[in-house]
Amino acid sequence: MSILFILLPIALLLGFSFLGAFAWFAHEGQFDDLETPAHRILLPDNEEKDGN
Amino acid sequence: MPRGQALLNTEVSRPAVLNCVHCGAVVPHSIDSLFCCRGCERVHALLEERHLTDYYRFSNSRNKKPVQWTDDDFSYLDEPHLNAGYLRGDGRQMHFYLEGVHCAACIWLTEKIPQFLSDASHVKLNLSSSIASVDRSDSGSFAAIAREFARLGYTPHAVASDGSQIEQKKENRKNLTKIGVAAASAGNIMLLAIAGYAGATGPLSDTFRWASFLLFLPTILYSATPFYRSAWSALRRFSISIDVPITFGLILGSAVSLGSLLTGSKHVYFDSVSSLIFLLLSTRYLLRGINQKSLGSTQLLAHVVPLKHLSIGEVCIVGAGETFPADGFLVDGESEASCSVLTGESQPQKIKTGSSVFAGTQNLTYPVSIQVTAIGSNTRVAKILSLVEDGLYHKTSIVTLMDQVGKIFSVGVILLSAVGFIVGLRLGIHEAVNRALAVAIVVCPCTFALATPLAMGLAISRCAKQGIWIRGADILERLSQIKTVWFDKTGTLTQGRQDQLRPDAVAAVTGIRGLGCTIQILSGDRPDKVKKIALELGIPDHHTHSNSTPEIKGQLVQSTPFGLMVGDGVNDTVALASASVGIAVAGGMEVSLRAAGVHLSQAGVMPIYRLLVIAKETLYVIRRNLAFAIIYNVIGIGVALTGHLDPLFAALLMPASALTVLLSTLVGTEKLRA
Repeated sequence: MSILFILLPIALLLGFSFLGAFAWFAHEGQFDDLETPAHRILLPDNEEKDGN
Repeated sequence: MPRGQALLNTEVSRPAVLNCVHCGAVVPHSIDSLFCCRGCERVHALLEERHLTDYYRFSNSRNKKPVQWTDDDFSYLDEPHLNAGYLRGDGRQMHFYLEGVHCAACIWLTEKIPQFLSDASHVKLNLSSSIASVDRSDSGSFAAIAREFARLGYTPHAVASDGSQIEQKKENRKNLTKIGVAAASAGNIMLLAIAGYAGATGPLSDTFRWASFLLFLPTILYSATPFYRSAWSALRRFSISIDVPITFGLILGSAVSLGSLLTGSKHVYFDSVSSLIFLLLSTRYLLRGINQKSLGSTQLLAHVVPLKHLSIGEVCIVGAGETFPADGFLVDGESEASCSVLTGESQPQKIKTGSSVFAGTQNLTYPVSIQVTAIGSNTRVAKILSLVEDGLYHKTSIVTLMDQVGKIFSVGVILLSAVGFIVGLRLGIHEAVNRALAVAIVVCPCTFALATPLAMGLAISRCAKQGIWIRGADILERLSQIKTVWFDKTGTLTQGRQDQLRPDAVAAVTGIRGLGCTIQILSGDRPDKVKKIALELGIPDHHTHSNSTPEIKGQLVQSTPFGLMVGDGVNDTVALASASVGIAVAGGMEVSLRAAGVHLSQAGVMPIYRLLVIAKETLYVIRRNLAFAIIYNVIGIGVALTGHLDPLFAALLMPASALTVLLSTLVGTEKLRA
C-alpha cells in the first residue's frame, strides 16, 4: 500500500494539469457560447475569406 | 426552376391551409400569394438569386416568424460623430443584435455574407444571444453590412460598445473557473475521504487527511470568495442575506476541520464544505444567465427613430413608408400618418401643412416636408422612454421568499448554536464548544440555497421552450402574486391594427379570471372600438380605459399594486416598466422588450394564462422544497445537539437533502411539464 504515497501526488498532478487547461480555456472564451458551435459543425463548409 | 415557380405551375386549386414558402406561417386567404408578407417574398427571391436555397434544407420551421422588413439605410453607422458608441476593436468591428434568428440555417446564411459583400470580412453569429460579431474590410461600410442583414430578413440593431459587456464576460469566465476549481477539489477530496469512512487508519489515512486539506485550500481561498464579498456587503448595510449564514458555516467548518487536523483528530469536514461550495456556485452560475443584458436609452431611441443629423428649424423630406426622424410640423405636402406606435390609435391620421408630427411615427402615403421642432432626447418619444427608465428604477421591490428565509435562518443558526453550547456545558466546556460548532456546521444552507434556484431554473427553461422568455429572477415570484391584469388592445388582444379579436383571447381571459385576477383594458384607441372588444371579453365598463396616452397608462398601472401589464408598442412602455411585471407580446416593438421583464415570441393571449399558472406552481414547489430543507435541518441539528455528529453523517446529510430537493423539483411538477 505504500505505493500510494507515490501514486497520490502523480494523480493529483495529472488532475490539476487538466484543471489548469480548463482555467486557460475559460479565460480564452472557449465556453462563452456553448450552443452555436453544435449547430455549426453540421453545416457544409463556409470557406472564410483570407483564412480568418 | 425556382421553388416558388414550380408550385405555381401545378394546376391545383388552392388548398384550405397554405403555408408561407419562406417562414411556414399560415397565409391568410385574403392574400393571393405563396408568401405571408412582402418581407418573406423579398428574402426568398434574394436566396434564389444567389443560389442559397439550401437555407430551407437546414432550417427548422419551429419558432419561425414572418420577416419583419425594414427600409432603414443605417447611414449613421458610417458617420464618425454618430457611430463612435458602437465601434469595437480598432474601429473595424461591430456587434449587431439580429431579429428573427432561430436556427442553424440562420448561422449558415449570416456567416456566408462575406462571400457576397466585400464590405464584410468576417461574420460570426452567437445563436443564444442573437448577436452577430462583424469585422469589416479595409474600405468596408457598416451601413452596407447592416442593410445586407436587413435584406436577408434579419433586422439588425447595433449594440453599444460600452465596457459593461466586456465586464460581464470577464465575470462569467472567472466564475466558471471558480466552479472548475471547486469541482476538482471536491471530487478529489471525496475520493480520499472514502478511505477514512471505510476504516483506514495509520500514516496513510493521516496523509490523506493532509492531502484533503491542501486540496481544500484553493476552494476556500479562491472559489468561495463571492460568498464572502456578498456577505460582507450585506453586513456593512446592517442587513442579512442568505450568504451570511453560508459564509459563517464555511469558515466555521474550515476552522474546526483545521483544528482537528492539527490535533490528530479524525473530525475533518473538508469533503462536505467543498462540495457545498461547488453546489452553490454551480446553481448560481446556471441561473445568472437569466438576467439578460439590456439596452440603454440612447440605443432604444435609435431603434424607434432613425438617427439623422438634424438641427432645429431644419426642413427635411420624409418619404412614404419612412419613419419621422424628429418632432416637427408639415411645411409641404399632404399624407396620412400612423401614430399607433406612439398612441395606440388604430386609424391613420390625415396630415397637411401645419399638422404636427412626432418622431417614431410613420408617414404612410405621400412624401412630405417637415420643419424640425425637437430632436433627440427632446422628442416626445424620448421623453416617454425616460419615463420608462424612471419606472424601472422605482419599481417596488418585493421581499422574496429567499430573503425572508435567509433572515430567519441566520438568526436561527446563532440561537441554536447557543442552545448547543448550553446543553453541552453539563459535560464540560470542551463538549459545549464541540456541540455549538457541530450545530453551526451541520445546519445546511445548501438546501435553502438550492430550493429556490432549482425550481426557478426549471420553470424558466420550460417557459423558454414554449416561447416565453423571462428576464429576471424575481419575475416568477411577482407573477404568482398578481391581482390585476392590464391588457393593451391593439396588437395584444387584437390581431394587427384592424383585424378583429385574437382567436384564443376569450378562453385566455376566462382562464385568468378563474385564477382570481381582475382584468382591465388599457387602450389609446377610440372608446367605441375599445368597448366592442370589452363586450366580447366580458369586461365591464369601469374596467375599460380608452384614449389613454402612454403617461396615463403608466399612472393607472402604478395606482394598483400587484399589476401585470401586457402590451406591444411604445405607448405601452411606461406602463410595462411601472407594473409589477410587464409582458411584451410577439411582434412588439424592440423598445417594449427593454421595459418588460417577460417577452413572448409566439402570438396569442393563451401564453399569458399559462405563464400565470406556471408561476403559481413554481412558488408551490419552492415552498415544498423549503419544507424539506427545514426537515433535514431539524434532523441534523437534533443529531448535533445530542453530540452524535461526525464527518460521515455530515457528508451523507448534504447529498441526501440536495437529492430530495432535486427530486421534489423535477418529479413533482406536472403543470410545469404540460
